Amino acid sequence: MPLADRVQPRRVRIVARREFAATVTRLGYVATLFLMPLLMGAVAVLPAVGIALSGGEESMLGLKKASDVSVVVVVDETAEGVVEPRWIAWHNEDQAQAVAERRLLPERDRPPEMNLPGPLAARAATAQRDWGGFDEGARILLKTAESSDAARALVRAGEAESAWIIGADWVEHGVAPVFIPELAPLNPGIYPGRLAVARLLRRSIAKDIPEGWQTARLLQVLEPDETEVGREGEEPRAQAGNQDAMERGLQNLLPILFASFFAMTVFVASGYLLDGIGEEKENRVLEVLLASLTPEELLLGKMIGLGAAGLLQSGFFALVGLGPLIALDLISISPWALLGMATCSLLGYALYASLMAASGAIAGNRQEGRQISAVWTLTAASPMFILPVFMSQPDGTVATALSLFPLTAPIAMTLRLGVEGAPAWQIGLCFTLMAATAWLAWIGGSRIFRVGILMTGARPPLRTVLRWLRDA
Amino acid sequence: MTAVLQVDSVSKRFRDVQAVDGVSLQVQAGEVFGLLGPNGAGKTTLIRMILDIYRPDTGSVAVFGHKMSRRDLDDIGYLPEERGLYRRRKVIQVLDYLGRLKGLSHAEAVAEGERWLEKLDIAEYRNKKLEALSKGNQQKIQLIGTLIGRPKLLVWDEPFSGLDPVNVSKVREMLAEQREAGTTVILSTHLMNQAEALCDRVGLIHGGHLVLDGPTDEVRAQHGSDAWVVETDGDVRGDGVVVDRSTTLASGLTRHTVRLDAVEPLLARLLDHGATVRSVQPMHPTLEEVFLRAVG
Repeated sequence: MPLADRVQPRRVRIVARREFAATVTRLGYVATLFLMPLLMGAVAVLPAVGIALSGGEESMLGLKKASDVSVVVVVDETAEGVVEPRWIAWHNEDQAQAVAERRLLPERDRPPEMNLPGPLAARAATAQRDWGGFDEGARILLKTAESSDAARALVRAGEAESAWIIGADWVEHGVAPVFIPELAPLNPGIYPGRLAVARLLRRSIAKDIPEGWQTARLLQVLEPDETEVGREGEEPRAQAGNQDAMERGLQNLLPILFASFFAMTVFVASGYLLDGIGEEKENRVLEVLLASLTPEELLLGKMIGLGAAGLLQSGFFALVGLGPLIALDLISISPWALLGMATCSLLGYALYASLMAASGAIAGNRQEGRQISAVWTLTAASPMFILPVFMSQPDGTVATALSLFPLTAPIAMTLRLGVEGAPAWQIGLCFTLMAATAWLAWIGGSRIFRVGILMTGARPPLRTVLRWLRDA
Repeated sequence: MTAVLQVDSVSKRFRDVQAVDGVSLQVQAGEVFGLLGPNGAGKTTLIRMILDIYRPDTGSVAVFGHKMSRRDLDDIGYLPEERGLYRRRKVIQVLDYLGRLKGLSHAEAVAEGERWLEKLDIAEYRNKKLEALSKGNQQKIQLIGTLIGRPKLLVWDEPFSGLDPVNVSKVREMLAEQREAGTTVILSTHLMNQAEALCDRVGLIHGGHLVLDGPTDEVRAQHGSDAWVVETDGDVRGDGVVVDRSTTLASGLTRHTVRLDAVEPLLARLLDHGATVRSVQPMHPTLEEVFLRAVG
C-alpha cells in the first residue's frame, strides 16, 4: 500500500493534538515545567560552593593559587630596548614585600609614573580598567630571557606560566606574542602575567610622557597574541579580543547548554513516547486505535504531539536559563548557528523518537521499555562524555567523526556549531545523513510497531524483530 | 447480494505457530456473521488481518467490493476482545477522539456520543473519568466507540464478555438495531446460544482452518443425526417399537426420540392406540453440539 494512503494528515493531526493536550495537562508535566528551573538554579549554585570549598576556581582552571608564585618571562626584542630592568626588580621586590605584609596586590603603592597629567589620567584609568586581569592578587615573578626560543622553552618545560615577546610589533601596534602552556579544557583563556607585563611596560616608557608612540602605548599598552605551547607542538589560540574572561567562559558554555537543551528535548519527549506506548499497550487501547489508524499515522502523530510537548518544556527552560544571559549581552549566538542547532534537534528527535517507539513496541512492559531505551539514551549522549575533546579540538578527527555518525550527530554537531562552527560540507553531510537515518528509523520503527505493538509476554529475540522489519 | 467482506485463502504464521491457514469466507451486506471457534483457533488473528492490523502471509482481503484500504477503516467499527480505553480521560473526550478518528468533526463526534449515552441510559457519566465507571458501563462506552461514525461494517469480538444478563440483553438490542439499519456485523463469540439466536450465518474456525461455514440453520441441519422427535399424548413404550428416549413434558405430552426407520412403526402404533400426534420433526443439534462435534 503506498505511503500516501497509509499516512493521512488529518488523522496524524488528530493524534498529535490529543497527545499534546493529554501530556501538557498532566500534573507531572506542569510540575516539572516550573520546578526544573529551580532545580537547575540549585545545580548552578552547588558547583560554586564546591569550588569555594576546594580551593577556588584557580584550581578548576588549572592555574596557581594567589599564594603561589607564577613565573612570567619577558623578552625585549625592540631596537630601543624598551623594557627597563629596574622596573622588573622593583616589581619583584614589591610582590615579595606585599606577600610579607599581606597586602592585596597591586592596588597599593601605585608608582609615580602612573600619575599622568591632564586628560591623559582619566583615559589611562579607563584603559587600565579595560585591561583587567586575573593575576590581580596573585604573586608574579618577572624574569627576562635572551630570546623568544629560550622563553618558549621555559614555558614548555613548565618553568614559566607565560612568556611575552616585546618587539617592533608592540612598538607599532601594541601587539605582543605570548607563549602560554596548553590551557585546561574549561579554561576560557585565563593565564597570569598580562597585568604585570602591562604595568612593567607602562612604567618603562612613561618616564617623561613624550608625544608619539609612547603616548599611544600608554593608553593601549598591550594586546597579546597568544600561542599555546603544548607537548605536541604549538598552536595559535583564537583571539578573544577584549572579551572579559567571564564572558568568554559563558560563551564557551553556550554549546554545552544548547546540547543539554537538545538532549532534554529528545529524552523528555521520547520518554513520554515510550511511556505512552507502554501505557497504551498495557491498557489495551492500541488495538482500538489501530482499527482507525495506520501504525505510521499513530507513530507520526505521537512523535509530533509529544515532540511539541517536549519542545515547549525545554524551550521554557532555555528561556529561563539563557534568556537573561542573552538579554544582558553576556552571550551571543549567530542566527545560523542557532538554525543549525535547531535542525540538529529536530532531526535528532525524529531519529530517536522512532527508535524509542520501536523499543516500546517490542518491550513486554514499561519497565523493560525503559531498559531498552537506555541504550539509545547513552548512545545519543555519548559526545557529552568527552566534552573536553569538543572544547579543545572541535575540528579534530573524533569530533568530526561523531558529528557525521547519525546516532551521535545531534549532540556532536550542536557542540561543534556552538564552539567554532564546522565546514559547510560537513554540516550538509551531517544533516543529510541524519535525515536519511531518521526516515529509515521511522519506516523501520513503524514496521516493528505494527507487529510488536499487540504482542504481549516475553520480548521477542532480535532475529524475530529483524524478520518483522523485513516482512511487515 | 454484495459481499461486504471477501477473504481469500489468507494465512498467517507466528514463529512456530500457524495461526490461520488458508481461510476463505464471504460476508454479505446486511447479514450477521458469527465467527466461532475455541480459544487459540485463530479468530482474533483473522479479524486483525481483516482490519489490516496484521498483513497476511498469503491471500487477500477485500471489503466493500475492493481490496482493503486503510481509508475503509472510517466505515468499520471494531470492538477487540482485549479492550481498553484511556482510563484517566473523561467519557466524552474519549468518544470525541474516537469519533474524530472516524472522520467526524468535533461537534458531530460529541453529538453522536451524547446520543448513544442517552440511548444506553448512561448520560450522567458524560463528564466522568472512565476509571470511575463500572466494568459493564466501560464496556458500553467501548461499544459506543465502535458505533460512532455509523460504520457499514461492525466487527465485535466477544461483545458479551463481562456483562450481566441485563446488559447482555441491551447489547442484543443494539445489535438488532444495527441489523435493521442494514449494517453488516461480524460477531465473534463463545456463547453459542447467542450466536444461534443472532447470526444469519456462522463460520467455525479450528486450528487455523475454517471447518464449517454456512447459514446457521443449514449448519445445524447438516450436522444433525437421523434422529426424529415425535410429540404425542400417547405412550407406546414396551409395545415393540424401538424408542431411543422418551421424556414426559410439563404439558403432559411425551416426547419420543427415534431413528428415522422407527418413525413409521411408531406413528402406526400411536394411531392404533388412538393417541394424538402433535408434531413430527427431524432433530437438529444445537450450535453448541455442532461446535463440540467439530472441534472433537
